[in-house]
Amino acid sequence: MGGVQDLIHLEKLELYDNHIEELTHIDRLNKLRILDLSFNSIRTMIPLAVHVPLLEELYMAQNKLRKIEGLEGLIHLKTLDLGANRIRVSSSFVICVLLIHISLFSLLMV
Amino acid sequence: MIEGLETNTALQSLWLGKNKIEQIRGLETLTELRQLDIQNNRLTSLLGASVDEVENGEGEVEEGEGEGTGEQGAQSSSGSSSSSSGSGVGLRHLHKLEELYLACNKIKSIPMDALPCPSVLSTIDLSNNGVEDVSGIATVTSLEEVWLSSSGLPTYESLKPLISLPALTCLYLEHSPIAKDFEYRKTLTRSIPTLKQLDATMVHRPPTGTH
Repeated sequence: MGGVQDLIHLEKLELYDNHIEELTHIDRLNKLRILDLSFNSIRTMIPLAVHVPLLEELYMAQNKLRKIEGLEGLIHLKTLDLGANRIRVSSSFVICVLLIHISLFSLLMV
Repeated sequence: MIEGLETNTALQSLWLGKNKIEQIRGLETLTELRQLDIQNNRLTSLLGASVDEVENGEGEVEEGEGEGTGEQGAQSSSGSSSSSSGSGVGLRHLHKLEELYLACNKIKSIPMDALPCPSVLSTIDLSNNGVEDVSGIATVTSLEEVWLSSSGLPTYESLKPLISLPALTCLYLEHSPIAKDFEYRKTLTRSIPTLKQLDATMVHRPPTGTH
């Protein structure tokens, strides 16, 4: 996302339907209220919490997010679109079964 | 549980469709929600627990408490998936929710106390879940649109909680077992006087005064 770093007064940024893999160069976009990065290949939203505290609307549909992370403290966020990602919320039973399978597999490999 | 949204307390619209979410947990702080979409996920229950946990009486237990028994022995949480209280609040606390989209999951029932009460919910979409029991829907008297296409509702008896809704204007039950009944449209049109649309067809009512 090089090229946006000097747009410090920007309030709305739409970069949907590109090949963006990482949220970079947003350190100074502190006035951003609306951000649309749908249809990209982003794996994490961690940079957002620090750099865009005024965010009100975030559109991240159809990316490669596995966890909801990086939105801590965004107290103005009113609209959030995380559709069509890879966000997994398992019941603890499933997590424990997976862990058992993984450890059994490693035992067999020894 | 859905971690990561605890501080986003101003959220009004949350779209989580087409992910791999198995439980409605982690929305406890989002009391401003007006629209919630968790369609096309892996939900099995409207309560804040999966069906297995509910059946084993563990749905409402604090995470980290209680070892499971028998085949559910691995049920005890290692704490890996919970940072808050973990009790099965589900959706009950979302008193400002107006639209709820939960199509294409595996939610088989709407139990009592699953939905908010009091409520301003006007639209609920539970199509393509195979819902077989809607007993908990009767308390949501604000409902205007109920989408239950491809449900498992087999009889008019099973629809009783729906029929009692005082403001129901649009109902979808197409591709459900009851929709095959010979007198499906006639029976529902008569039973629900407020109904303006049944499936994709507007309801036709003869003008009053004619026989």
